[in-house]
Amino acid sequence: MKRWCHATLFIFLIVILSSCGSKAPLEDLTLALVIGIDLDDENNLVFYEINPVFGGGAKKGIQAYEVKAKTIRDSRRLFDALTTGEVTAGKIQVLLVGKRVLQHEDWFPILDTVYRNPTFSMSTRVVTVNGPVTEVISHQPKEIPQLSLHLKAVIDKNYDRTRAVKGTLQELHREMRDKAMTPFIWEVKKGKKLELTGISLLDKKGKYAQFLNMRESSLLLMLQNKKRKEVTFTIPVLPTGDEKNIFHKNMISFSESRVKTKIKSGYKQNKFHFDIKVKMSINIVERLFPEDKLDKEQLKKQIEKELKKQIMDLITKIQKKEIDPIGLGLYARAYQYDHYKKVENNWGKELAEADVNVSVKIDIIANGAVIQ
Amino acid sequence: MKYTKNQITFMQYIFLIHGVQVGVGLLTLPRELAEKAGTDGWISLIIGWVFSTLASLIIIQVMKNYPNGTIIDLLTHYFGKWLGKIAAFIFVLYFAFLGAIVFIREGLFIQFWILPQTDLFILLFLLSIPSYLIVRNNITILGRYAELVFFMTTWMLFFYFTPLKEAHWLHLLPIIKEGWKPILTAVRTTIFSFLGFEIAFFLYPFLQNKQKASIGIFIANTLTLVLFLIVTIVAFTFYSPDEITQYKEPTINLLKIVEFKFLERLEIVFLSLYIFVISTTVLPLFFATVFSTSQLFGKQDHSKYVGWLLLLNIVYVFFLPQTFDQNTQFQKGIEPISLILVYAFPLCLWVYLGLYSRLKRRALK
Amino acid sequence: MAFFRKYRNKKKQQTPFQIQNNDITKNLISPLLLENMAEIQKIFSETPDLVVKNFVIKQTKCPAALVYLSGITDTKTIHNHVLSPLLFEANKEEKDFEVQVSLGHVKEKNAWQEIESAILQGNSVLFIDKRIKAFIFDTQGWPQRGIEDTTIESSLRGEHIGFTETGSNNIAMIRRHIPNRELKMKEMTVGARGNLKLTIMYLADVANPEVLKELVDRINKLEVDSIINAASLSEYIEDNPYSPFPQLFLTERPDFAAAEILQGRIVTVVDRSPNVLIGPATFEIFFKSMDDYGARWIVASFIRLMRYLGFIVAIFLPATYIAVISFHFEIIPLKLLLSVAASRERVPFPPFIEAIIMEITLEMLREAGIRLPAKIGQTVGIVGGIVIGQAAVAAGIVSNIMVIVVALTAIASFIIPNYDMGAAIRMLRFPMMIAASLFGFVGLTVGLMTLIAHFIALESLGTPYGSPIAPLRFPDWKDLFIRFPEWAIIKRPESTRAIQKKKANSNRPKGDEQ
Repeated sequence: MKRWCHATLFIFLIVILSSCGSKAPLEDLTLALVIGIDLDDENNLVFYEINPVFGGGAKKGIQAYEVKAKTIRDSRRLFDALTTGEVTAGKIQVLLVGKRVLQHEDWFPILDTVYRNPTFSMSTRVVTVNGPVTEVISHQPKEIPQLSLHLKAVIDKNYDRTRAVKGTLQELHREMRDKAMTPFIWEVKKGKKLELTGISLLDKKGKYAQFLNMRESSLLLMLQNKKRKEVTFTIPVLPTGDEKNIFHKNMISFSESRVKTKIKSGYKQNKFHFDIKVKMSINIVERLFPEDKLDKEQLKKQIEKELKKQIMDLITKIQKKEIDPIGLGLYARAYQYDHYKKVENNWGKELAEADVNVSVKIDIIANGAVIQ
Repeated sequence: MKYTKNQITFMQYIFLIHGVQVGVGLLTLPRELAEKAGTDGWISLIIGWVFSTLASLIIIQVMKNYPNGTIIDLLTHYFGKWLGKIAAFIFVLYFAFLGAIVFIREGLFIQFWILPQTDLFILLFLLSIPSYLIVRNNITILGRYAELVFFMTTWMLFFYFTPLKEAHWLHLLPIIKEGWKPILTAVRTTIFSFLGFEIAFFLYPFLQNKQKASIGIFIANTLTLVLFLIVTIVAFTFYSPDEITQYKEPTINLLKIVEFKFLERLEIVFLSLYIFVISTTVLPLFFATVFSTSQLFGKQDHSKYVGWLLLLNIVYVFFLPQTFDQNTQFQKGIEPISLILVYAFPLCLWVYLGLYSRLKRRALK
Repeated sequence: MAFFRKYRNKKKQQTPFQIQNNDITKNLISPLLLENMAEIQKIFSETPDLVVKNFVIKQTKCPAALVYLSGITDTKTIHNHVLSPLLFEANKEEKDFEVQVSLGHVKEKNAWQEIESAILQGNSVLFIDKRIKAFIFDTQGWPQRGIEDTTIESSLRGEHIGFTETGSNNIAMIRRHIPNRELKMKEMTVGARGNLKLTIMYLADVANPEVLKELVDRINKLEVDSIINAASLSEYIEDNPYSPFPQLFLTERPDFAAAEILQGRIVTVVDRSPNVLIGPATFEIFFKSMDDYGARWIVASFIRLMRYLGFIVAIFLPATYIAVISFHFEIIPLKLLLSVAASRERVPFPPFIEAIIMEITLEMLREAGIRLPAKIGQTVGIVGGIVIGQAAVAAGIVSNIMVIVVALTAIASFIIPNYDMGAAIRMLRFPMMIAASLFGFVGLTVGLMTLIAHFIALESLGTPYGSPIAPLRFPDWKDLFIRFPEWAIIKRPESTRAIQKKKANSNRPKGDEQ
């Protein structure tokens, strides 16, 4: 009997002890879904947070808060003072970073807690805001669902159509740390409506360097061999003959069923060389000019020429800013390790001086359902 | 003879050894390799596998000299009772420390990743309940457990195919970037991650079909190698070589990005289930400890020592707060002893026994 | 656990109970009818159902007395086959009277003890003046029901007869399936008061003799007053009395019992109980039903898989719910999380209390439904459905999701074909819920680990209970999660430790060979 007593006592003790340590249940938490980081006019850090509100009492589905704090973790203290429940970071969907933040070097360490703390999700989308973050945070129109769900859905859809990267915290970390490439993140803009504009390229230190629109970012992803479900280009293949080209009669649209980018790296005369060979099979999905203007061979040539030009433009743009979002450095490291190792810490500059050759080869495999 | 009652099958033998090899080490393995050998770490794994396979084959050769007893019986048989006692004492200490280090580390991992607000000693107490229930039984039950857990948890490997979709195979190139030197330094790490096959010292007499002992231990080592290779290569290709050393436990971090339509944050689910995998390391080690203890005192029943061993662990953790660093220090401390016990000791014994039997044969002639 | 052992040992040291043994035990009957009648009156005092019929046998003109208990004898048999021949028929050629009794089963006994027990078991005893032996006629007959369809384990394609309360009938039902001379039976009697007849049935060239010996030894060791039904017998002889799992299989289906005998198992028919005991039981046979062999194998496999899924769901679903809501909400995708959080917003209780309230309500409803007459039972269902499904949610006491969880759990536990296993599962989920509410997923894992620790060490009649899962025996997996076609299973399962392995040759004609 004595042993029974001891056992019971011990279990009782354990139950009491463990109940101190248990977490608050779901309904007592405030789920932060969007976190925003921005600088105000005097260069003070401002943090934003959006969380959903349940129950009949609240009118709006979500609440937004704004605090001035030193760090992300510090901001939690202030948010806790404002919200009903304990603010938790487990479900942050979108992390908004103001463009003003990106204009400073070495902003990345403020995200330290995100990586250090196991409660944070690594698939949070990182988005930069062209303009003040507060405009986006306070943008709560009735016709779209919650901002966090909406933003994430928009990003994922464009990701599937190969117009943008996923842009998660995990990817950002990789791109920031890897010496052979530079980071890029999403950009949104709040005009009349919230709009996804393209991607921002950052330099190695995280500073804002260049902006790419949707078309260019598609090309960038193609070069990275990151085609997702679908990728479509609409490009001009004929010189604009008429001055009044209202209906853009020179345009052609095609979707690529297969794209393969091969990059070869070399090192000659103290310079890196890159041969980029893009090979794709395309389906023509839209053609606004009659067939007799260009025969099949010519059409192919024209498309190849136009694409090559666009890719070259993109690469020149990149080289000018001494950045490497494509990840050409990865190829340099893999195949020219010894040379790369010497310039590892200065890769952007090295790339700017490198020779890049681009060749595009296409193969038209389908013309659609009508003969025109 | 005295162990014929509780036998383990060939499969149980394989999974017991494999289970002891795979444990907490796997969680940090990719980082440790990358720190030393960069993305060439996988070559070190293969070299480590060669070493450990050789060592385990030698262990089996040694055990063949006295097939119906454990290493302690063998030493008693050849060198007398006192040396046997001393060996038993050393094995008790070795397995107890090894077991305790892994056991405490398991608790620390759970505390850090899943239950940050719970005290470590409560977690260890919790884990002690099933541990007690299993270890107090005989080796057959432990074999069944290892077997069941292997099949229950291997499917978790499929989680790692999702990060593989975003893999950059270029990270692995060029192979042997910095020459062989870093690769060979990393071999030291891999040798320790393959440790655990020394449990064969205690498993051998229980094995039903002793002819298959060598092939079994080979399969166990190879299974472990395959598992290590898959996880390491996924981590190397997913993370950039400059980035991977930033993560303490890349094996867990990898799963943070895996998302299904109905489930996110797989690392929580994974680590909860990984407790099973770690338990197949801890439990055989504890079994070896209490089994040697019972041999040391010349008792048949080992079950009463189990409770004391577990209690000792809990009390230790209760009075001396543990940290990861401290635990790693202990691990580093026990590594040289492992090297001696697992590599040098069987080799010497093997040579000695070879000479001994040859001399004896010659004397007979 | 050492502690339990001590406890058990202490029990054993208690003095074995004794039934008062009268001095009649060694006595023999007297040749005088009057003396015998006096003795009978002494033994059966205050027994109004005792019938003593005094008469004179026509053949020999001897005074005689027929003694029997009126309720448990077949009066018609006594009248037609005993009394009327003795009273009215006289055969000149034969000196003895026995020819006139047209019964097959007649014994001559002279010890009072045997006579007493014969009377108590429904035989009638004939005392004749000046004879030192009494005649015992097998005239047993007691109130019994007819053979009906099985009630608990009903099936679509299986046999539609179930065991009844008469052991000899039950044996006959099994024997009809296996008319083989190797089908051996061992008769045993248990219970100092109950005198319960047990019949152990097995195939002598298939069943493992060690297992048989174990079973017989355990039954022999029993010292009890009486055993009322097969379930309490199994409680006396099972391996681990502290286990939540049933370790011997109780069935009311003759076809299932026969099938298991053919697999190499041993069936114990318990007289007066409508169930038989099958042992050694392994975990998997609790997930089998006779219909698995009546349906096409693909369908049967699908249903099997659902049962195992049901097993997992029934134990872990409420616990997982608690763990997720109170610890790891991160693992639910956002959209689902938002709807869960919205439904939980008004609930004033922590998830554990919420779950316990619902689970206990459900268990009460289930129990109420079983015991009540069918007509009122329906009312319980409706009231329960409305209370659980509507009012509780509307009042904000529980959340919608919790109702779904509880309903799913209930359905999942009812899918298990065996009642005992289903009940065991329902019990197991409570400790799991406690563990989950304290430690989240870690608690769940430790709970599962403890369950496994128990499961792999459990034995049934010295045979591993977890077989073929732990210890792993892949050949037996042909009839585990997937039921292979019958012609593909040509060996008996290793789990039964049968000594004759092969049971068929797969000579199935293939394709166009026919």
